Amino acid sequence: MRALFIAFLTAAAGVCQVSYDRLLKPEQENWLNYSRTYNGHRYSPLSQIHRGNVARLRPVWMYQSWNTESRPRFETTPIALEGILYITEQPSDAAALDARTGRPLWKYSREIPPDVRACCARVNRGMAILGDTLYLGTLDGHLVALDRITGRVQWDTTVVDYKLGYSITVAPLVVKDKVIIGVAGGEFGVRGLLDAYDAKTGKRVWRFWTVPGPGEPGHETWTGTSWQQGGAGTWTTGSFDPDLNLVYWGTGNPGPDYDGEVRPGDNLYSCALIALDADTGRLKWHFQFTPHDVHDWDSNHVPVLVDATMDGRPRKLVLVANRSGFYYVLDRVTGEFLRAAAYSRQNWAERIDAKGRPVLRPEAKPSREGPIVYPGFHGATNWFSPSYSARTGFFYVATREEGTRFFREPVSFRLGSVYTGGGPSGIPGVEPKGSIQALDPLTGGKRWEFALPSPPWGGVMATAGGLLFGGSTEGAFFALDDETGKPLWNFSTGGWINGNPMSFAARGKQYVLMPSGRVLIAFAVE
Amino acid sequence: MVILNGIPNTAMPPTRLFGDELRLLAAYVRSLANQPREPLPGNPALGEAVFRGKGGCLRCHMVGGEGARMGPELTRIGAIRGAAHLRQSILEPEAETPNSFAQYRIVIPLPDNFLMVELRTKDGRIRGVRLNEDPFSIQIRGLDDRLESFLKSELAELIRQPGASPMPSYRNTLGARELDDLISYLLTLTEE
Repeated sequence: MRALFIAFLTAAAGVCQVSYDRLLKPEQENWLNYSRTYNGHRYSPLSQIHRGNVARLRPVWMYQSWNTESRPRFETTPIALEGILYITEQPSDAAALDARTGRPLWKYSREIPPDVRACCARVNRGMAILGDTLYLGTLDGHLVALDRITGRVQWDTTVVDYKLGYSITVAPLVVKDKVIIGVAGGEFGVRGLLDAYDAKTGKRVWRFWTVPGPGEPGHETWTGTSWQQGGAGTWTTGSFDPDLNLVYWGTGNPGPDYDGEVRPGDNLYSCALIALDADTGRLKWHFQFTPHDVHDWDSNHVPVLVDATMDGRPRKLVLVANRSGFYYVLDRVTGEFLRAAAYSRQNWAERIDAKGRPVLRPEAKPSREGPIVYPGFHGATNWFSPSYSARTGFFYVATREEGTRFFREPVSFRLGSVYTGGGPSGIPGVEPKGSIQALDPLTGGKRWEFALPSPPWGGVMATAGGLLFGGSTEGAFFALDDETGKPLWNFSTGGWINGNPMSFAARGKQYVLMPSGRVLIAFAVE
Repeated sequence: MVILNGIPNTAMPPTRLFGDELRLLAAYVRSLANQPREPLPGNPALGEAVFRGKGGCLRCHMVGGEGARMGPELTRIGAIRGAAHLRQSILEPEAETPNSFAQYRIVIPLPDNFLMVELRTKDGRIRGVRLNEDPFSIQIRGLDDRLESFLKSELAELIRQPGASPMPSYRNTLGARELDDLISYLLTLTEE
């Protein structure tokens, strides 16, 4: 009997433990990575909710966050594992919820020092999981390992000193036995980096500086000491190709944002995609979308990995709909530029040349007069996730159309102060708008578009049910036909949607989840 | 600071002036407080008669609780607008419809700009001011003051009329004297 009992316990532990193999091939009902799979598709293979029954989708529970943040932005993508959701809340809290009722099972609360600087609200986008441990990045620059059963802290390691302007908002990415985590702080003169930590001990295994120091390749793209405040944050979760053993991660704007005069040069590796060896953190290749950016067009996007035949040749591709208004297709083995196309209104580049470099329009440069530039400083899209559906073969992206007047104002760097060198203002009389777009992944050509009356802050998720879920700034959560863009269902959440949809199943029933305002809402077909 | 930041939720946008320019502008604005009041171009008592009679202004505007709701309330209009602006508003109502996109905001949840819309439903056409909108529905205040909401799927057509105003031009309605009198009356409306 005793032997049987022990055997049962061992088996149970075996089921629950999230191994690296499970991260590589997550079960249909679970959501174990920020984008569900390493390829960044944010696609759910569940099809219980489909075009035929989505009209009957109803809210089944709501989880109200009791945080007191003055700027509510619920950006979490929960980890869903066997009927339990592991979520994060503002500013850097975590909780486990019963997936059928939303009832909390434990909570982890972290006191954030008042002098932590966050450019754009005190947010967190989610956790990573390995074994029985959850990994949480915190605003005060730490990486914390939490026991998924109790929420107890297993280890707490300092990634960066927040007093230097850093913060952490990104959901980490577990690769093999390592936790990869990036930083924010591009508006406070930080020097960007991407780190990997031993998942068991919290010891740092490698660090890649996204702004190279003296003697390192790429350092020559900075002038004088400007590299020390070079920015290039890494605040949106990357992707991973296990066959190539490469981690793909986007980098943010150079600092100061709008005053490029103090940093002549291309300013590597800002506004770029970097491909790093997962074991060593060594740079395999980089592609810089916007050399010497002066419009705050962070390239902090989830890179979407797709294999396809292009121009008659099978290719391993990485796809990025960039904040700059251009859609890019790159070879992810070599970083070779293959194609770019504008997917949103833009007036800052004549074109992208054969090597992938933008041919600039000088009049779009920030100045005292403040030229009107499209896209605006929040970009044609932003951190929120795109989605790729192998079912339709479309790349989906929530798109913003909102011009900005860009002003340049010289600024001196002061530790802990905003270091932007100017600022944006709106365009009187012009009402911004947005859309959800389906693009041809190989050309960036528009397949369909669903109009939004104001620019979105919510991402999208395609499902095997033939649906594309998305959200609007006014709080409409909706499902579109993934092939045509036709709206099939919507629900007015009454809050600002500033997050990504995700889906999971518990006890055989599919749920779709969307955060809005301070509320996480679960929907199911009843 | 008011010049730099504007006044949230009003027509006053932030400006981007720095250093000396900002100081000079602030000094100029302060000097305005010492200026003599603008002389009235006409007779306010006669202007009130135009306002209530020939102009029909109370059909759309409210003064001291009297009148209608479609247009901006005018109870304190003399305290916030000068003669030139009032003249332009009466002669060319669409020259400057209110909008609030001079400022760059992090979130833009509607409603926002003043926007006239015309909706075609199965029962006919409705014109009004947009109060709110999301991808699936629109809420308006009709020209008859009725509050209405429509699902976009119920509409045959939704026409946006940016820059349009429901106010007619009085260029061919009022004579020069009547216009001066009306402006004079409006300038006397300064009570809380």
